[in-house]
Amino acid sequence: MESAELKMFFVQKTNLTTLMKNRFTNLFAIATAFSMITLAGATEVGEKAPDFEAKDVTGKVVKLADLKGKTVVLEWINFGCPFVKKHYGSGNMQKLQGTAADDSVVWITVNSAAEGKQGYLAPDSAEPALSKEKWAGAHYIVDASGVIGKAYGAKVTPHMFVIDKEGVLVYNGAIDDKSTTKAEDVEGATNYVTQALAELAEGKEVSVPTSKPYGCGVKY
Amino acid sequence: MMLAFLWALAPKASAQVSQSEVVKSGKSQASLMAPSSFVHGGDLTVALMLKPEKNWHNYWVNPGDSGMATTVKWTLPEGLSAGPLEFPIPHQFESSGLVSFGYSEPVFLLTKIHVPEDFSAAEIMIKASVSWLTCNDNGCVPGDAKLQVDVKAGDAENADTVLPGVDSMIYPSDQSAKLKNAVAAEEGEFLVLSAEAAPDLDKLLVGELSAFFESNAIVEHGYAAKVSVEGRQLSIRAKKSEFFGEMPAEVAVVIIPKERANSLRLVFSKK
Repeated sequence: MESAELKMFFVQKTNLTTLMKNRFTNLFAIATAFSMITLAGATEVGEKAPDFEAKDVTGKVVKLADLKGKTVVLEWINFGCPFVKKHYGSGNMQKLQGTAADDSVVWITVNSAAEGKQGYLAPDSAEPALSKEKWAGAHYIVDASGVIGKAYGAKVTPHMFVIDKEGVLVYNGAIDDKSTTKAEDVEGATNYVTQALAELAEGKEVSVPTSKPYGCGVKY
Repeated sequence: MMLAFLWALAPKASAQVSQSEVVKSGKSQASLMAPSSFVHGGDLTVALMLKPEKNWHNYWVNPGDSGMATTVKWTLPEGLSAGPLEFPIPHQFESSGLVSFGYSEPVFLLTKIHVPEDFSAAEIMIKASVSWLTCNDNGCVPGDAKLQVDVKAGDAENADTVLPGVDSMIYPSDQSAKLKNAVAAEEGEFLVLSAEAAPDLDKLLVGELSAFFESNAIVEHGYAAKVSVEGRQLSIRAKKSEFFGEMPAEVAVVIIPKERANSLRLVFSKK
């Protein structure tokens, strides 16, 4: 496969003072997003997942290569999208995030909406939105330049990826098999992420490694 | 609320047509329409009208890279069932490099209900629970509506009434029976559909043709499938989707000429 190497670098505004209110907001205090990204063509299941380095909205540096030895979930998000609302409104996504944390799976939520587009969340104003939605992932990354999204070929929100302990992409696709906006369809759906994580935990191969993701287009 | 007059393609108030109320939900309006009478042993065509607000769009049976197809759950008297939803030919939309299929204009989605000879009731209550998604470049808003029309037993002429507005839409006509050796095969990163077309069919396969795949996870939507006709041999070459799993038993494709004056639906079987 053709491998175009592209290093990207972006810096976003920092607003430390307004967020130093309590312990929880401290978590989200440093809103600088600083990314060095290697974009390596389209990502296919079975291949090494593209590495990326970015600061999350709390200021923590997240580097995929450093997470070797841990299973990683990537979730593309836009709180304004009805398909995302389905999974947050029903509590489904937060439940998955909580279970992942309990199982030492690193859950990274990525927002690739460009600044000025619907769903864009400035890093320094992300905390109230995440708090309101009871978001329970490990890292929330604002990828307004879209480099991480494009490296993975993230098409919609939600679009889900699972990376195994060796850094290999093992799942790329939909969150589940019911492509609707209705919260009542969460129950009874086959959740492909849950299934992939369970199979990985048992040392099995992921039985459904790809599925067509459904949702709103990522607002690059 | 009767808002029928708001429709761009509004049916003229007519004794031959029954119409439900018009429900506005999200960014679209929906209504149900049927001939006001049915005959035993005949087919009844019911139309769901869906009209998005200006600069918004609703989706085809295959929404493409994003979006959601409009769906209808029918509730009908015992002994009756609704056929598949027939969608008019779609347009292609592009946003941030993603391709989707649908309509920014009001459309009529059709279904046929067969009424058996021995159906005893003199009236049919047709209930539809409709779900759709309306999007523009900036976002999406879901909509839903519960609609009802009542149709009474009556004369055949009235039961065959062409619903107003419906005749202005182009629906693909299934011509699969006119294909010989219609097969779908994988060729590396491509999906190739091939068949021999019957003589009267190849007259329709002229000019610049586009192919729209009905299934969602088969082909790369951003890649324009190449439709070629040599003599009577038809070939459609599309790029496989990155989410292509196994070849389905059947691949249905809608062929649309540039002029959009007619359209064919063709089904190919797994080789």
